[in-house]
Amino acid sequence: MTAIPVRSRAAFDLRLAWRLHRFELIGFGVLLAFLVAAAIGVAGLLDATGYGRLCMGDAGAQPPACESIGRQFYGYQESLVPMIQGLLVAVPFLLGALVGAPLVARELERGTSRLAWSLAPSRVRWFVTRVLPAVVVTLVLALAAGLALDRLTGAIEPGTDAARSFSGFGSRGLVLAARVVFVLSIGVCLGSLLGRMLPALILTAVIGWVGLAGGSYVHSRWLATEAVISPTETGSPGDLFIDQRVKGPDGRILTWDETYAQLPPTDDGSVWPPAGYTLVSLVVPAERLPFVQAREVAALAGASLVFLGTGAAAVRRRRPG
Amino acid sequence: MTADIALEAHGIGKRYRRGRPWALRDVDLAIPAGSITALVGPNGAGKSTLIKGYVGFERPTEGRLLVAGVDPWKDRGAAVRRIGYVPQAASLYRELTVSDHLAMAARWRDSFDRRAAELRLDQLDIPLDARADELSGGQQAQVGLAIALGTRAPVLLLDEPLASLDPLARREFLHVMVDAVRAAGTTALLSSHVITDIEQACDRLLVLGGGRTLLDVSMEEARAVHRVEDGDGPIDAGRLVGRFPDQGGTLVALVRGESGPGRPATLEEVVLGHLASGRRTRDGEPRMDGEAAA
Repeated sequence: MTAIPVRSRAAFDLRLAWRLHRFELIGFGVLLAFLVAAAIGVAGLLDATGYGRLCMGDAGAQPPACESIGRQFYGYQESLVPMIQGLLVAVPFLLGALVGAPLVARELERGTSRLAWSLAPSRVRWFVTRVLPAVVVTLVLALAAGLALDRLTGAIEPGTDAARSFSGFGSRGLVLAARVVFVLSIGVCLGSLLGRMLPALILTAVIGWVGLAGGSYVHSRWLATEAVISPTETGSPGDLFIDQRVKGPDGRILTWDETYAQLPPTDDGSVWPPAGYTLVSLVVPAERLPFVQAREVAALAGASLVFLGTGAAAVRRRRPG
Repeated sequence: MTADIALEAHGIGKRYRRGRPWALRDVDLAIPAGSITALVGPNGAGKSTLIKGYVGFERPTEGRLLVAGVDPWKDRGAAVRRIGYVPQAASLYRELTVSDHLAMAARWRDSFDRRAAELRLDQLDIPLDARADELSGGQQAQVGLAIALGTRAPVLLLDEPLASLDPLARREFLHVMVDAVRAAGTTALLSSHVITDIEQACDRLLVLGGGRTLLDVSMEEARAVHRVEDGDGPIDAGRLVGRFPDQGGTLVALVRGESGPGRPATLEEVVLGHLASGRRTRDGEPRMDGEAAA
C-alpha cells in the first residue's frame, strides 16, 4: 500500500486507454496502416513509370514511349489515387470524431464516471489522463496518414518537392494531423458538455466541418493579403495561386476589371490584352509553405487547447451522469 | 466540526432548477464517527442527493456539507480522499477486469489496499481476471464495495447498493460491509429502501421524506420510543407521529412513547409512520404534522 511511481501511473493510464478504446484503435490502426501502405505503393508505381524523369523535360528530348508512359501514369492517377487520397484524408477525421466524442461522454452515459470521479481526487487530472493518450495516438495515426499523402503528392507531381508545395495544402502532412486533433478536441469538449455520445458525435461532425471550412476560408483570405506578383501566368510549381493580374507597359499591376476599363476589348479579333501588357499571377511563393503551415498548425493547436480546456472545465463542474 | 462527527449537514437545501420543488430543504445532520447509519426514505426523498453532495457530485443550493470537517465544494480533492463511495449501479467499466479496477483504484488513491481488496474478493470467489460484464449484479456490487473499502477512507457512502440485488446477495453484501466497517472503525452511511436488511446492519436510523429530516436517532431508540396503536381512535396530537395502513390494509397509528396502549413498533413501522408524517402537500412543502398527514 505504497504510492505508485509516476512511470507506473503513466503506464497504467496508457493500458487503460488501450483497454477502453482497443476496438476503435485496432480498427482504425489496421485501416490506416493498409491505406498508408497503399499510398506508398501507388506512389512507387507512379515513380516507376518514369514519367517525371523521362517525359517532363524538353519536349524534343522526350523518348517516343512517353505517350504510353503518360497513359500509364495518368491511368494510375485517375484509377487509384482519388480513392486512396480520399480515404486517407477522411479516415483520420473519422478517427478524431469517433475517439473524441465518446471519450468522456461514454463514461457519463454508462455511469463509470461515478466510480472514477469518486476515486480521483482531481477530476482535471483524471481528464488529462484520459485525453492525453487519445490525443497522442490520434496524432500519430493522423501524422502517418499525412506523411503518406505527402509522399503521394510528390509522386503525383513529379519534379515538385512536396515539402515546398502548396498542392493539397491542408489535406496532407502536419496540417492534416493538426486538423484531425482539432476535430478530436471538439468531440471531447462536446462529449463532456452534453454527456451523450450520439448527439456529441453528430455535433462534432457539424462543428468540425464548419470550423475547418470557416478556418480555411479565413486563412485563404489572409494568405491573399500576403501574396506577391509572380512573373508567370500561373506562378512557379508549388506556389499557391491566388489570382491573375495584368502587368502594364509602365510596370503597373492591374486587375482584370482595371484592364478592361483601360482597354475595352474590341470586336475586330485582335489579341487582348495588346502588346506591352503581360499576364502575371498573384501567388504565395512555395518558400513560404513552412511558415504558413506552422501558422495554421499553431492556430489549430490553440483552438484545440481551448476546446480541451472547456471540456476539462465542464468535467470539473458537471454531475457524473 | 467536532472530532467525533464524521458527516455534517448545516441547513442543506438542494433544488435542481429554480421553480422546481426542493429535493432537500433545511437538513441538519451530525453523523457520529464510527457509526453505521441507515438513510431511509421513499423515492425522491433526497437520499441520493444528500450522498452525492458529500461526494461532490451535487452542489447544495444552500447550506453546507462537511466530510470529516472538509467542505466538498471548497476542497473536493480533500473530501474525496476521505470517502469510499459505492454508487447506486455498480458503475464498473465493462471492458476492464476486476484486477484492472483494483489497479485503477490504486492509481488514484495512494492509500488503496489492493491486497486486502483482492483477498476480500477471493473470499467471495470473484475471479480477478473476469471482465466486469461477466460478473453477476451481486458480484459487481461486491467489487464496488471492495474498491470503496480498499481506499481505507474514514467515511463510506453507499448509495442504494442493495437496490438491484437478490436477497442472498443483499445479505452477503451487508455482511461483508458491516464486518469491514466495524473492523476499521469506519463511518458508513447506507441509503436503502429495504428496511428489513438494514435493521441488523445499522446502528443509526435517518429518515428523509419530502426533502426533510423526519427522524435521526439510534436504532435502539427508534424501536424503544415508538408504539403502534389502532389508527381509527382518537390520539393525542402530541404523541401521534403518523397514520398508515398496515399489511392488511387496516389504518394504524405510530405514536411516541415507551409504554402505553398498543404494541412496540417494528423498525418498518417506525419508518412508515414518520414517512406518513412528512408526506408532501400539494404545494410541494412537506407536512410535519401527523394528524394532517393522516
